Amino acid sequence: MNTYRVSRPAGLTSCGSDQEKTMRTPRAGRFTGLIIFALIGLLLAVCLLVLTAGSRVWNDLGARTNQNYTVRTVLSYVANKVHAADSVEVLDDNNGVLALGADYGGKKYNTYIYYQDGALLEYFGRAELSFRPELGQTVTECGGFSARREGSMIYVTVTDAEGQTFGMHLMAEDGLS
Amino acid sequence: MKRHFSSQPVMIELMIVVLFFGILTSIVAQMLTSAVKTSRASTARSEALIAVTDMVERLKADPAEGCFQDTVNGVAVTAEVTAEHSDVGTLYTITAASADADPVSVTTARYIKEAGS
Repeated sequence: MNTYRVSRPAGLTSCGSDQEKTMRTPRAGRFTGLIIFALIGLLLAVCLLVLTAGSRVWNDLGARTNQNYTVRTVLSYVANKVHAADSVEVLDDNNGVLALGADYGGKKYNTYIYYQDGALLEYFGRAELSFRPELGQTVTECGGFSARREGSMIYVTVTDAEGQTFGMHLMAEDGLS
Repeated sequence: MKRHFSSQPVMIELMIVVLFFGILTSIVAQMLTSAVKTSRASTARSEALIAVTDMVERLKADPAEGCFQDTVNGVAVTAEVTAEHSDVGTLYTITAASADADPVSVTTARYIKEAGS
């Protein structure tokens, strides 16, 4: 019977004896365990990072959207009201309340636009009746609103929920009364 | 025969999971960055629109021909007023735009009758 001797290819080394393997396994196992824990830790850290960044961005987006909505809504609303009014008056003694006059069927009416309790309110009534702020209807919530005369124009300011204030000049179509 | 627990497959599975989450994280990060950029651009446009409208209102109240520049609420605004004169009045066309990379433009007109016409 022929016997063949298989020679070991160049570059390959022996895996060692069974005794050597048994001796190496616990140390290698500890090292591998550490890597596994490190990977799990990395995974958790990344998840936490994504969640934190995501929530911060979400809050930021919400605040910006709210700011844009509040400021643009209030300014557009007030600008359209002022442009459409027959007469415009600013009641300086009453925290910058806008009083917009209009004639309907020969009778005079006033629209009062003012800020109260965190919201912009509007009160519409006959001109001869006195202004009653408690009867106003809420237009939108905002951080603040004011109006003042500046020459022949009105300067209105709106404050958003974050406390940032934006101002805009408005021209009354028929001038200030 | 004594069997030893092999941790190699667990390592490979974990590395695949970490790689998968890494890819997902990079996608989410890109989306968040894009959302923040869009939000900032929206806020900037909103502020620019307010500034441009303010300029237009001021020029409309007291129109005069020419080019004008001003800074309103921290936004640079340029405006141009042209006038078309006639016997009965003057038509002023006012165009204002914010001077930034993504300009907001507003055009309006005001007709002023000549006195006595």
